[in-house]
Amino acid sequence: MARLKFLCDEERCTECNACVTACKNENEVPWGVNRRRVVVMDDGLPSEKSVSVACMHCTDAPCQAVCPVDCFYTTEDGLVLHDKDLCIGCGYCLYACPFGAPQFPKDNLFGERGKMDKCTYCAGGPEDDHSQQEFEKYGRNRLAEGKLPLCAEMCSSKALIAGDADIISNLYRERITNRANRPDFSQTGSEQDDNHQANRPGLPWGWETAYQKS
Amino acid sequence: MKSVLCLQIICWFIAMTLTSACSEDTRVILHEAHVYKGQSDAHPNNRQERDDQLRQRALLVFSDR
Repeated sequence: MARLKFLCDEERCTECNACVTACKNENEVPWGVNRRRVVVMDDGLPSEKSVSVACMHCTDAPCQAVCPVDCFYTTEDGLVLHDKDLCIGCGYCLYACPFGAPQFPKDNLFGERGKMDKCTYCAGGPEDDHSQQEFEKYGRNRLAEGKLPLCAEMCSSKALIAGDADIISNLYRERITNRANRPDFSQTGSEQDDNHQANRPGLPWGWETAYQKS
Repeated sequence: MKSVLCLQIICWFIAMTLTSACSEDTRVILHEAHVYKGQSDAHPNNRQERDDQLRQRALLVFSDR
């Protein structure tokens, strides 16, 4: 049984925002709504990391738990989707979500909060597959075509990966194993040994070379 | 007399046109806690077939070359 998940490898993400653009373009997401965004931590510091964040399709989703009209449902693939016909736009899901995934259109009259919009894992919604209603409400249904979300498929550095949890965890494990064997030239031999013993990673690999520090 | 009748019909038509905008979906959903009562999201193709297709796609797209 497949459980579809996203995983963002922060060592590979270059903050290019191509995933954000791909998502908006593929699903024709309205202005002001960002189903996916890139979060930068420690901006400008050697420990800078970027992570692409969207709905993580939680196994025990808090948005689903707090929704007063129960507009959320979990598919057989483990995706947390919602029915916009049931949504009343109360915004409880936004407060419950630890990732800030639920989005609300802001261009309604008198600042009224519209129906909630979020990442659908390019799986559309409960409407008929590939129907006009489905596309207008939820965006493209790539999953029904046997494809994975476009944000992940077009990530040039393969930082953002998507698919069955078993497959992506295996891919990530292989990467981690390969990285562990990679020499860190920014440190002397004794420093590397110390860090290894203390289980502290040094600077990101290649950082010293890229920024021409001795 | 004829003009009054004609005026009444026009008024009735205008009133119906204006109030028709107030009517929405008359379907009533009685909510139960943690029970999804929206449309079902059915997939036409076989589950196993779809899983295999997505697995192959993930390996094709994300494996390091």
